[in-house]
Amino acid sequence: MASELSREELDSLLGAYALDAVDPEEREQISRYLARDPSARAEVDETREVMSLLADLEEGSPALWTRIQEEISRRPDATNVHPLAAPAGSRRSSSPRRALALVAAAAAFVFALASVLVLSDDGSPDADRQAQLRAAVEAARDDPEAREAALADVDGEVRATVVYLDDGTGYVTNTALDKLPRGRTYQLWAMVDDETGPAVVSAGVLGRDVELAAFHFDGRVRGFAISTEKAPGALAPHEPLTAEGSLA
Amino acid sequence: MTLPMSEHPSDDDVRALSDARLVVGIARMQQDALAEVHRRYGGALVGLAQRLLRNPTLAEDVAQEVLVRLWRNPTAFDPERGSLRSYLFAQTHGRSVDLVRTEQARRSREERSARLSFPESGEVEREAWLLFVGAQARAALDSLSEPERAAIELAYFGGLTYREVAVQLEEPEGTIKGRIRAGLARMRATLRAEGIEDPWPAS
Repeated sequence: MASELSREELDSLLGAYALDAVDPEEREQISRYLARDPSARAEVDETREVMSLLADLEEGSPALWTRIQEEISRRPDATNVHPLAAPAGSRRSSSPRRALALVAAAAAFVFALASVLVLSDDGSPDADRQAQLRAAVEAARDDPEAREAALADVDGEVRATVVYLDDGTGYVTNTALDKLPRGRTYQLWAMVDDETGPAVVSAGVLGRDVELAAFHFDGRVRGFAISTEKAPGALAPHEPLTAEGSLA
Repeated sequence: MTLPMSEHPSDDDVRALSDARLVVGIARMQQDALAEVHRRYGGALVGLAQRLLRNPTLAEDVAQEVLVRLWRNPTAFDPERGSLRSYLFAQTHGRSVDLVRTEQARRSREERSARLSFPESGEVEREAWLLFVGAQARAALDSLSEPERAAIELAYFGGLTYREVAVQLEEPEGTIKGRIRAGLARMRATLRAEGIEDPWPAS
């Protein structure tokens, strides 16, 4: 095998290719052919469409869904999910008051933060999740209901952008946030209006080297801000805000 | 594409979404959207893999792999090239064929009967349209000449290459690939004549 197929030969194999019934060497050549020939590609696509109609539709089994759910739920754990919880080191120096503050902090974050998925931190980002997050950001930007905020520093430089959807889903994209030293973390804050007036509420801990982050925050949000805090995060910003911006 | 999910969707909301919108939901990491794709197609994907692999465990593995891949990389699905259903079935078929062509699988496959029968019409419970187009597709296959139909069935449902089909049917390779292509063209033309040019107008 391995000789270069003529166009006529390639065309004659399109049916078999669409059924995955060609040899690997032929498959490779036909794939290249499809990339440059729209009519050949259309023939294969239409054939696959027709063949997909032949299957009897059956609902997926609960057992299969359980396996899938376990699989897709395992991956985020391998990246970086950052609920604020008592850090391991806090046990060494904790006073009852400190412990209470951490519990309160954890409770506040659980309330405010359904999930924050961050890429990346100290480890190398998982390529699949990264691609998935990028796709999510693109999809969010295409949503006519989405609002966006450019978070700028005091000099007006945009350090990060936020896309925020009506359902509370949001995505932070780093545009100029430098990697922080160990022990420090970026934290995202939602600027909201509550009964007592304007307030700033944590929307998630982003880690020290964030590229993309997904978060969830429910509330009447006017805008977002980012601060740098001592890891693992703070109840309220302790440092001047690194960047902030209103939702448009 | 936009997903009408200003609030978290209920089961009914998700079930009403088109496949294309479900993919947008998946891109937003909404498990409900993937669950609905699984509900719609999971059983059929397992069925196709099972038909090729003759191994229920492996078949579930393939379906799981295909759906998890969609979750992790939804942009691999290109709506310009066809429906989500077509994409998922092509992925499942390709992966199953890869597996069935390993030596171990090949040995067990050789023990199977030479001819593979076409499946009986099954229960299609979701939409009348699916029932209609599915029936039309089967009719289109059944309307082919016996040599064309046999070649297509052995290749698609048997997981054989056209060369293996040629050996099995004791025909020249050129004849078999010609029959496969001509038969498939006839099926497409039959469906087009029935008005099924785009099987998924709502997606």
